[in-house]
Amino acid sequence: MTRMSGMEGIRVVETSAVGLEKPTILIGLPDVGLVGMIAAMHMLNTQKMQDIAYIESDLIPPIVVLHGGKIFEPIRVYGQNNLLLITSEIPIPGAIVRPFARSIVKWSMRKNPQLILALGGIAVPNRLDIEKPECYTIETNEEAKRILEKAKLERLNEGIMVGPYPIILRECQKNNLPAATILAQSFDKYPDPGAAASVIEVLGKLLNINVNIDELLKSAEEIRVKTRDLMRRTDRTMQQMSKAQELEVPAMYT
Amino acid sequence: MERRRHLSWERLEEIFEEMQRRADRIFEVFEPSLLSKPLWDAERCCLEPLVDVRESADAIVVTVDLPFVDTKEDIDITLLQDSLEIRAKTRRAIRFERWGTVQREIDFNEFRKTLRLPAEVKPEEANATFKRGVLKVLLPKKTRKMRIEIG
Repeated sequence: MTRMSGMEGIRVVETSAVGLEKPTILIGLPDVGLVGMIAAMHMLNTQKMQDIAYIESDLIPPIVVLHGGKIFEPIRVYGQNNLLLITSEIPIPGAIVRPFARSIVKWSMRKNPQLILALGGIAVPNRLDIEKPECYTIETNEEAKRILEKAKLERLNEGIMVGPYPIILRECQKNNLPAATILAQSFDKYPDPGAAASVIEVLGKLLNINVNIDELLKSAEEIRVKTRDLMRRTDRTMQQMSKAQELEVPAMYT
Repeated sequence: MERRRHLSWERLEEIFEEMQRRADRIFEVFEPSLLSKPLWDAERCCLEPLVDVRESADAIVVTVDLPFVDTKEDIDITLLQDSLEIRAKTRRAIRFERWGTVQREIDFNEFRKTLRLPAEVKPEEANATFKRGVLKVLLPKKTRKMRIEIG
């Protein structure tokens, strides 16, 4: 069974029936320290999530990935136990961030989600001195704030955000969807499994699930070696999007 | 004849190393825009680490991600006139079961990176630290400071 939905040339193609009731939708894309992507990989492995959809578009670079002798699109959706997870094995090019965000938010709306959570990192210069990274959040509406209260995260109040997540959040806000980010203090240019572990701990609290992070921390060095290529490519994509603007302060003052 | 006598294997190795260094520097200059150099060297069984170079008015700070490197004794840092060379031995072979287009098994034993420095530095004041698998090299810049009085 294949069901397609999308806009502006970006389609979500479902390959399995997705009959979840008010699911939580997780998004883990390559970004600062690959935190979201590493957290997503750990979730889909530990929760035994199944491949249920993929993103198709002429705007996405002509890349497929091979796993176990099978061909996959690089941006895919996984599902299990009322959880949906959108992840990518390529950085989202800046030019398609807005149509990509609109497309996945529109698809998410039809799933009537309880909450959309974008998982990622926030670059901090003193990461080397931080033993256990802390997480920050930004929510789109009161409902999201109410759910996130449980995790007691510090809220980001002022600043500039660049990349797919802020645009996804903005689309959610426009459509009054409950959404939030969980951003862990992270290395900027190195894969950071330690930051991903902090994100997963918060996820565990919010979703009332037990996700073991010991395996993730144990294989941290392996992950750092094997994600170097994606990290380098993501870093370049972030530079093209002027990610460094996040270090600036917004011009409007009060 | 005299010339041939001096061209020992050791000297040849040195020449090849120097050629490699120069090639690396060319890649460093052009890599961001023109080339996409792979992060490995199968011939030398070494991986290229991820590197971050930050420059301030007074110093250049280079940080290098070195997973599987245990101690500072496993790291060799050489400061050349306009570049920095880093080599680090991993505590065990890093194995890729199905590596590259031909899907063969391969082991890497070392990280190597030569990077061109954006400014002249004071080698005698350089220092380095190694913490949780990340090497940090601080290179103070050669600067001439002059105080200007306001008239």
